[in-house]
Amino acid sequence: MILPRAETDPFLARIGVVIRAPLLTLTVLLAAFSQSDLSVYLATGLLAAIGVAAALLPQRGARGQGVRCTETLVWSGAVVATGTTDSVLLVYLLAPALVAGLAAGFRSGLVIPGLASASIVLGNAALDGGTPVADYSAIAAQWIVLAVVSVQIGSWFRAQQTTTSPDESQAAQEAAHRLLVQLRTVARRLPGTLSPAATAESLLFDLRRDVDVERGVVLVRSEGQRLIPIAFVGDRPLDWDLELSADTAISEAWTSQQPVVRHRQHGRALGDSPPGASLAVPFSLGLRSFGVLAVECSRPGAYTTPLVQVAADRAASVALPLDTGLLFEEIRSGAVAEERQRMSREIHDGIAQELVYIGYALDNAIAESAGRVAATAMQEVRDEVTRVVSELRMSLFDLRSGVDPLAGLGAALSAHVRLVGAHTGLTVHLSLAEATLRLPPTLEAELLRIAQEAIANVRKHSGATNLWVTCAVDPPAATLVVEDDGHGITQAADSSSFGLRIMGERADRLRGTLSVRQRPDGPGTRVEVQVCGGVRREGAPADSPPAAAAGIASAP
Amino acid sequence: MLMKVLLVDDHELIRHGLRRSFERQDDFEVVAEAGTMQEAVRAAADFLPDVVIMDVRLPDGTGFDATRAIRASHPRMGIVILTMYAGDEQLFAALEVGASSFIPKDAPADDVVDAARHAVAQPTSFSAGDLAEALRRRLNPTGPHLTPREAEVLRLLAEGLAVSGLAKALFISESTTKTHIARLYEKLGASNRTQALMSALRLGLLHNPAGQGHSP
Repeated sequence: MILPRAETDPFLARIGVVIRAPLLTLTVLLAAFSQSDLSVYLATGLLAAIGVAAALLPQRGARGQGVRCTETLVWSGAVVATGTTDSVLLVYLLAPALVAGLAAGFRSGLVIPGLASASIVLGNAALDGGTPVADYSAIAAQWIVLAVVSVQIGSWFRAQQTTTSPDESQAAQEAAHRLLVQLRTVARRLPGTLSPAATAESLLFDLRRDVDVERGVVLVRSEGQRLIPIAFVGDRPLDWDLELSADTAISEAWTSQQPVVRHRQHGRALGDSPPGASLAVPFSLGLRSFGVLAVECSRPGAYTTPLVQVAADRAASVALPLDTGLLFEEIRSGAVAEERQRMSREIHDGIAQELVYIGYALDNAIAESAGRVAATAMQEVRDEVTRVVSELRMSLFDLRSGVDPLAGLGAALSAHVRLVGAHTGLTVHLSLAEATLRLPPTLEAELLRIAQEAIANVRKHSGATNLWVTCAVDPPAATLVVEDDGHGITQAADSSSFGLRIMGERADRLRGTLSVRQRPDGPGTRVEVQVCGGVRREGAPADSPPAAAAGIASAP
Repeated sequence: MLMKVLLVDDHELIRHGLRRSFERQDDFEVVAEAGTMQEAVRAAADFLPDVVIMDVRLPDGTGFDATRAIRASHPRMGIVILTMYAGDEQLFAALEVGASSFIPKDAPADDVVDAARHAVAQPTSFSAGDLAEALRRRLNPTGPHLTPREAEVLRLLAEGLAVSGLAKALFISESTTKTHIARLYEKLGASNRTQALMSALRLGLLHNPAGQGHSP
């Protein structure tokens, strides 16, 4: 990037001197030590004078270029006058050439060697009985080539210098701005969606048309060198060994960055892998793998070389959108987390403290008006303030809590539920069925938020005595159920419809479904979120009678 | 002899409200106010109050750090920590840095005054409204929650059944059984049957084969 800079650039002013001084000294020394006549000393003196002047004059823009052209013309005159081919002054051409490359860039810099060659030819032609054309052109050509190389070197340094100039921070900001504008444009124009899960799912479905796939999964890298599934086809549960340290086709594909075919199905976490065939294809961009496409079937030899190629091509074609989607989610969840922290600080330092003050002020007023009728009314207001401050404390806790990358969704849910149990009269029943595998972190965070919102609704509006929270995770599928035995949705729906909408939006982002309806076995409400079709309960078919009462369902 | 109070909170309004509450009492006197951690530590040394009312969030640090610093040089000074934040971690942090009392900011001003009086009388003891419950929660950490099926698998494992026997007893396939076992091991942080049974005993899961999860 070329940035406008002041006409008097200190760096270029210095470089004009720094480059010319040694070349000038060299030329003068060469002239002094050569067995020369007076004309050489005169020409050298003239060149030295113009060189010093050129070093002190500005280097940038048209004036700089004019100075260098004059310098070059004087040089060629001096060269021609001192015998062209054996002139000791030839070396000085490098000075204007280098400075031109630095100050004006490669193209404008080329004027200097061009001018030098033309003026030498003309000078020699004008000088009767000058050096024979063949002689001087051979020597002159060498120096012209050197001069061109100097211009090139000069312009390269110029590029280096420009990018690391004091304007660096502004340059970085401009680059960031341009990138973000591009990102916005691209995100708006993208066909389909940026969701990595959607990309991965369509890859699996497409692949199934050409290749025998009984079970297939798209795995992506998560924190701590773990692979987590983001899309899946076939029978559940996924009992493959996904350890990157294990000797499996998946870990081999990850490490070697090559497709790996094995003559058994994928390695199981427990027990032997069944007979059949398995294939693992890494997703890579540049020099790093960021995921693996793994499929298997029970037919031995199903994955022939051409089919492996088909799978590899498909994987390669989605690598970029997949990684883009993953990056986008990472950036968004980072921004969301930061925003939640900011909101929590703002509430904490703003309205919360003011309410606490109002509470204390009421306490003081009540104490000072002891016995009077007004005190009773004020005490009612004080109780309400206490309730609101408690509510704010819960909200602050929600805003500040997230899913610990090491502990997982279950731990975050139980911490939250424990706090709710402690601060309210609710009896909380938590049931977790987490698989050994984890969900992607962004999905875990969204599920925690939905649970918090649903629990907050129960706390505030339901009048319930029992709260049941059930969370089943079988990546990439998950089911979260929050139930209560309160007075049901008819009363709650109006006052919490904002909460319901937020939950719906969150479920949308997970490409899951949200249903809110009457609890099937008793009074109260049941909120259920299913991701990737949800986790089936053992022995029962997919547990979903259509939303009976005033349910809202968000389409994936 | 009046008890001297130092109020630490970066919000002037809060200090103002609390000052009035303390000055209404005939046994307290607010000798200084501070809005930062540094001011608090300095004021504690300069005014030698009998009790410090300390907010948790301060612009230059936390009330916990300030408490630790003050406690190091004033072992008999009463320190009441006042917080907006919910969660047991806050309470235990207050206990750990040597506070005398812990009060949430939704409590009425009289509670703060009572806590201050208590802190002056017994600066080295610790009191908090939710202390007993929080301790109980900490002593019985919510261990792994087993599904009813996993609890059953655990019980059968404890009886010494092999995978095939388990599968028969539960009328499920061997591969499903293995999945259940894998999840059970994961939840118990075990890599084999002996470890799993040991940690299940330690967590009290084997006395309660129905599991801790209740379905509505």
